[in-house]
Amino acid sequence: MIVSLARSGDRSAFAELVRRRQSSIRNLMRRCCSDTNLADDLAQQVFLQVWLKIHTLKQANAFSAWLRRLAISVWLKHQRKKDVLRSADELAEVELAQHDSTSVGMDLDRALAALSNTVRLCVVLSYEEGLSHTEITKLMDLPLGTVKSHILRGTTRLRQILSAYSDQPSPEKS
Amino acid sequence: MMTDDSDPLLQTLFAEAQHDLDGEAFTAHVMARTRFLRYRVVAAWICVALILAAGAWFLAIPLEIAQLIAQVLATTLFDLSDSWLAWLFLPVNNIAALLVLSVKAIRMGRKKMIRASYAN
Repeated sequence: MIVSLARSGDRSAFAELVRRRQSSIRNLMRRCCSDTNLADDLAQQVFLQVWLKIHTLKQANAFSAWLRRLAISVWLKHQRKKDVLRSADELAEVELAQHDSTSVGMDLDRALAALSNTVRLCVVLSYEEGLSHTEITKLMDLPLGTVKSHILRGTTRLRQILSAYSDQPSPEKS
Repeated sequence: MMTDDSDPLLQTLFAEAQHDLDGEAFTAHVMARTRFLRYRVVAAWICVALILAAGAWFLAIPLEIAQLIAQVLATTLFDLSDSWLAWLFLPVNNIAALLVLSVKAIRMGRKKMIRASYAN
């Protein structure tokens, strides 16, 4: 209903849509870039894209998947703009200026920053968004084998970095 | 709803790290930017309209000159009134045809002169 109203240009419906969906998109962006300010800026860009393109959405019930696709395309566009030659180590140093407010979030962001951009996005889509490998394949336009190997590599690396959590009964006790 | 093999610890950590963020300030910011975006679109349309108007204004003078030239070139050389001869000679009985024929003649004469100079 809200999506249909927003599609017809209703500003208050669109504002409600942003209010309801902002948390998931901002969390997704935060996991992707480990910088809260940048994540919020990119999330705003996502919603501006939604505002500009929502009239092209044919089915209102496809909004969630469409929004996720837009978010990923905004993130990939941002990635392309950045210097692709920067190594993951440099990213870890540069981008961890600001963190998630929770300690788990902080540790997770630091660990994610150690991964390359593609691997990180695959891992985030798998764990944060709960997408299957096939869905990630379609979203990122990568072969299934590549997605699987990225996730496996990312999971192994994250397990190494976050090994302290595996020894503890609860993740909050870091 | 992860269907593929996933690490339970990472699943727990991702779930722990996810929290609801206050959306009021964020929503207000997005809405302000959409308003600004609307003004930008309107401004862009105004710019396009101005450019088109300026283009039309600048093109008006050359267009008038071209029209005048076309009128002059179409002027008949000999008045043959409304007879069938007038229709027969219509393609050549004007200044444009005279100019084309003159240029052709000049070029042919030039070629002949060049050939004659080579022959000598």
